[in-house]
Amino acid sequence: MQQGTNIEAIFNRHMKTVYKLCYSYLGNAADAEDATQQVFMKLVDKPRAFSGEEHERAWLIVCAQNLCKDVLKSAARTRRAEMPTDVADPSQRAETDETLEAVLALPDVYRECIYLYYYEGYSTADIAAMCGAPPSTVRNRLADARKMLKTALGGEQA
Amino acid sequence: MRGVRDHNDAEFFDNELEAKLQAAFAEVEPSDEAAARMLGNLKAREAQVQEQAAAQAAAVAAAQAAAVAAAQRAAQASAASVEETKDPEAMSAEAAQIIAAAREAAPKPKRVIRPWQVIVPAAAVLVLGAVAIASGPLLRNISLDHADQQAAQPAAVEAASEEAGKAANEAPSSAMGDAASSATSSTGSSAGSSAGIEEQEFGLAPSASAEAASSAGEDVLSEDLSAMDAEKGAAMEEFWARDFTAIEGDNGEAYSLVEGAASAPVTAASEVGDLVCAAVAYNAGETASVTCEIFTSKNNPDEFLVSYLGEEVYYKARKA
Repeated sequence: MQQGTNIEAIFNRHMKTVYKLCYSYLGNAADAEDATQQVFMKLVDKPRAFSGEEHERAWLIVCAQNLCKDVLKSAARTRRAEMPTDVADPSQRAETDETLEAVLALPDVYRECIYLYYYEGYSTADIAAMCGAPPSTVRNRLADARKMLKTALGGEQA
Repeated sequence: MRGVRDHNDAEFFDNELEAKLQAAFAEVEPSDEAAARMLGNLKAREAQVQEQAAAQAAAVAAAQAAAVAAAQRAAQASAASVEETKDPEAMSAEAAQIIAAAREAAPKPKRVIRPWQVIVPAAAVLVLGAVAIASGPLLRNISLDHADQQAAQPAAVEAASEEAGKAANEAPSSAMGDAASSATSSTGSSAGSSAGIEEQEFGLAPSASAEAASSAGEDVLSEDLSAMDAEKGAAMEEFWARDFTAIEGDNGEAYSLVEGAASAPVTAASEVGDLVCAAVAYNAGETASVTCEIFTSKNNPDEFLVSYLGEEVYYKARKA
């Protein structure tokens, strides 16, 4: 068990994951950056002991989910329509923008399932534990999200 | 990247779309500048937190040191105050004086008359008065009964005396005495005793009138008996002046001892129960089996009462 926190090491290990999740929730780089920083600030303010890197990663994901939901609920939040400016390869931007926009257009519950399942590789049981929902609910959400994405991306509607 | 999927409609999502999603999320990364900025902020926050923790620890240590110093000062001050205190005995004496003065100065409690202290005696007086009024007729009835008994007692004594006189004239002297005594006891004493019982039932002593009536009855009987004794005694003296060997009855019949019959003269040595004659001759011709024995003695040791024919008779046997 790791005692205390070496915030730099933890940040380097999980910064991208937290950022991507926050981006999938909030839809822009600035809000995702702020949210990512707040997530790690929580760990700085209240250092925790984790049993391993996977435990550490799961805790950060859940913390990011809660934080993003709070941000989305906040009345003071002004939605920013700007597109992310820090995309790696501008040549692929059109295609990735289309896919990413389709994902960002999904409701929040579908976005988090799509991201955790297809990119982070969590099972539906793990996602259910993180989201506090039954696994069957997670599976239904994934199915609905796939239908919506296929429709949005020009595929056949189920 | 991912293990076995546990959803049932995975075929719905083709590999192309999955690859697009992974590519889209892979492209979402913070810039190096942004990452460095976030990391710098985190390190600054971490340093701040550590500084606050150090300051907190220092403050806690200072507070602990201050508390220890204060406790030491308090202990020293307490020890000094103990040394300055007076002798306990002197203090207790002073305290006793103060308490006594306070008690003297304190106002005396006034005597408070409670309501029950007035009501209870008044109720007791009323109850006693009611009992006295109610018992008045009863006491009058008792006194009337007592007067009736006193009036009836002399008449009962008189009737008893008359009966005793009759019995004395008709019966032998001993029987007469018994009758007289029994009459006395059955009339005068009974009347007196009945009155006494009634009076005792009410808790009162026998009255003087009852006692006077009883004593009057006894005087009458004693006079009668003394007269009888005097009369009979004269006859006896005459009889016993003769020889003891001849016996004479109350009615003048002459008895003579049968010759050869056991007889013994009454002597001074004779005792009660001694046989003085065994058979007597009645009227000098008829014999009768009688037993004469010394029955008892009275005041005069020379005179003896003799039992004749099994009955106690007033024959007197004089010493030979």
